[in-house]
Amino acid sequence: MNSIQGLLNGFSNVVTPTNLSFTFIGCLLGTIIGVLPGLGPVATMALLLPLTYKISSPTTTVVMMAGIYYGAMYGGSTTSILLNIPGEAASVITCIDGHEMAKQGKAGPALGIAAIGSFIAGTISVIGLTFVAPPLAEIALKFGPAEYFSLATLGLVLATYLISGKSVIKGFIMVIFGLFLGTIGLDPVSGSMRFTLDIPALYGGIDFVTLAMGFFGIAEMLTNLEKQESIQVIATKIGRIYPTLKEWADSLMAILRGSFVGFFLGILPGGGGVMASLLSYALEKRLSRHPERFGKGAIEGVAAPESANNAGATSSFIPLLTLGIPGNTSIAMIFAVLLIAGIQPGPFLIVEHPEVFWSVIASMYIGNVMLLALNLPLIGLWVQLLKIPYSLLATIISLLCLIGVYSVQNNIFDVIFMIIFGVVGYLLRKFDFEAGPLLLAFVLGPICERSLVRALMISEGKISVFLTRPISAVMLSITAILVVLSVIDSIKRSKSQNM
Amino acid sequence: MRRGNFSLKGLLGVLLIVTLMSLLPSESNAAYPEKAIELVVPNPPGGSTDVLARLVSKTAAKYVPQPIVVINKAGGSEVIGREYVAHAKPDGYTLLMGYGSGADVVSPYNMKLPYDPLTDFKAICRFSAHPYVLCVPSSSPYSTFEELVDAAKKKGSLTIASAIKGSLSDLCSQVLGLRFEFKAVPIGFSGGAEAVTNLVGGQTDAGLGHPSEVVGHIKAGRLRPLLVTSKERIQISPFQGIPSLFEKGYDGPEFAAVKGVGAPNGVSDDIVGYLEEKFKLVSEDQEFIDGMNQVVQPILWMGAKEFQAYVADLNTAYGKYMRELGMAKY
Repeated sequence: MNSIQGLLNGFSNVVTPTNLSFTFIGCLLGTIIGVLPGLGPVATMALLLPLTYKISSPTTTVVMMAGIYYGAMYGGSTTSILLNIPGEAASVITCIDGHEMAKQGKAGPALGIAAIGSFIAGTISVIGLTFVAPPLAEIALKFGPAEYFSLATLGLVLATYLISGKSVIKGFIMVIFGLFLGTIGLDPVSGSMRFTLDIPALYGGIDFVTLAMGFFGIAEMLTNLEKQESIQVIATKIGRIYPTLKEWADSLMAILRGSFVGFFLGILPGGGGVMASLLSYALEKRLSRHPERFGKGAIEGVAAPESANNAGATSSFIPLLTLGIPGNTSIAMIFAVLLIAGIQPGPFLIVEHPEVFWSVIASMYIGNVMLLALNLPLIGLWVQLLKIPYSLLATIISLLCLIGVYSVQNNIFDVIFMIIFGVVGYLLRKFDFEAGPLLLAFVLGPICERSLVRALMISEGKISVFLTRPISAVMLSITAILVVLSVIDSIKRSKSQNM
Repeated sequence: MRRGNFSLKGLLGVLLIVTLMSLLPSESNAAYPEKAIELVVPNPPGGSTDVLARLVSKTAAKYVPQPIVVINKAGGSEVIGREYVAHAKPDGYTLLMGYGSGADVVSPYNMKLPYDPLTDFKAICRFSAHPYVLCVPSSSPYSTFEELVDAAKKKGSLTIASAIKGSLSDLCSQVLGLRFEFKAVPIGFSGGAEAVTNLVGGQTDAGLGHPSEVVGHIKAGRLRPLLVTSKERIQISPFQGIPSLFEKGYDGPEFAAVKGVGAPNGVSDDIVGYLEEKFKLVSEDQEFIDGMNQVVQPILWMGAKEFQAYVADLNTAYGKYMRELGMAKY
């Protein structure tokens, strides 16, 4: 059965009242939990799982779960832009320019471009999924520890591109602080417990959500509460709801580039999502004629990572559906759902259960349309949220953060840590230290270190392995080129300043 | 005195009722279970222990009048969830799923635990045990375990994709090297799934995975299974033809991630007996059997007393290996 025929069959399967309603329920739930800080798709899917036992068709269950997952990506941009709170690692980048735009009264266009970009990216990604999934999955398999090391190194160098503040040194300090925080816990490669102070809650390391809620959510609030003027600023400056044509034109290429970057990187198990948004942002900044706009509310800085996010969320299904390998925890949950329903995800899925395979893909096309229809009208509503007196808004946000962070692991220590990070983050902000590079280093650092050690263990100590393996060599070369270009740039800049 | 509603008679009446109520049977004598039972899974949702817990919870609804609710308390290499159960009230409303796994029989030797895995828990029953399947990627030239070992001796070492260093799968890799006299280099991935993914990609020479983690890849021809680490061969397809470790001359404890149910120590024998009986019914339920087959988890029932001794024995046996290999810190 060729792809077109399979897809058409899938559509006919999905366009039933039951399947359509469940796709919609999934998308709606996904959007809601995406907006709520902390609460994630995995916890939601786990909660809903017992209810799905009564549903006879596995297709119906999976289209709903899938809807929750990519729906959360749509919703995540809302909190990133409006409140400067990233829902997941991949949303950190959106906060940078997104929240700046909100502060300038352009929350509406930011949300609009995020929604539309997500739709375009999601659709492009599903088309890619439909036609080129198997060969791409093969390429993903080629990524071993050496490749992950090179990718993470590239990511860490790109993270410095994000340092938008005045002091690059302070940005580096945050990167190092982030690397340090990433080491806390049990190291899987060496088996050593690092910096856990014998507190069991730290054995598994600090959770990303805790860190993000603390450094972005709580710290942001503490900072804002202190600065009385900023409260008025946001409330009075709510401008247009929809993006202008110019903003559209500016973002289009960013959306397209972000979609492709996200699609390819999302396939990589473990860390693909973060790299996708990071790389797409850095790419836009590099290609832009006015890179200094980035970090101050450039619309491409929202369009690119949001598109990359959504494209990546969809393409992360590829390893699951073609190889039976889950790339992240949400996909692992969907893997479990399929298993419990008696379906073994893997290369035989398309042969043994073509109706499930194609129905899920067809539901993604429909889901993207539903999400666009859901999110666009809501923009007006979200923007009004900013009008709420900040004292009330801050209270609600704190409550959501507290509950959200607890919901991740049902552990009160996470809440305590979040508060500690919130206070530390607030203090750091007062001295112009930004949290973005810290969070990125926190995610990329462990990947970098563990992959380095594993790669060297496999190659029996030969460092040349990073250059003899082609994919790794390419990425390291790109990293080297970027570093050289940055040095040249800074030399040029200091020369022109001296003149 | 008849002023207002407050009268001495009323007060005495209230006191009498309160006294009588306090003499009513307390919770432990009341019909157990009276409310929902928490089944704590110390892993994130979606993993094999979680899936097992959900299957048990789903089937138990037929035999237990109260719902058994699965709660995930992941973190700290399965320590957080266990700590929660170990320190919970021993009234039978908080149970642990996954008792007997590496966290109870290997971790005590290399991690400082805030509880004692043997004395702070009461074993209720064992549902399953997942052995490891030693596989090589399809690109590998070796088709039997003997060929692999010979090549390892010639090459000098063998990289084996395993779960985190210090885990049961890591110990298993090292013991294979120890007993069959080759240098095993376990590569510590963050979990079984990551290890299997890397193995399928051919990043290491061999790897260990649970049957449920490797079955899809074996069927797709990407992985070639060479050995299973349980005493008996696995009877579920496609593992039937794969020899067991014990057929190769190995003598010692079998390597399997044991999945049992535990309760905090101090729980009454009545409750243990009740749960043991109900869980036995679950394990024999056809719907449960079908479900377990679908998720490729074998059903290996063991009752409370036998299981308690089993876990203690495993702990001691692995402890010996840990010391022999120099992996033990405690």
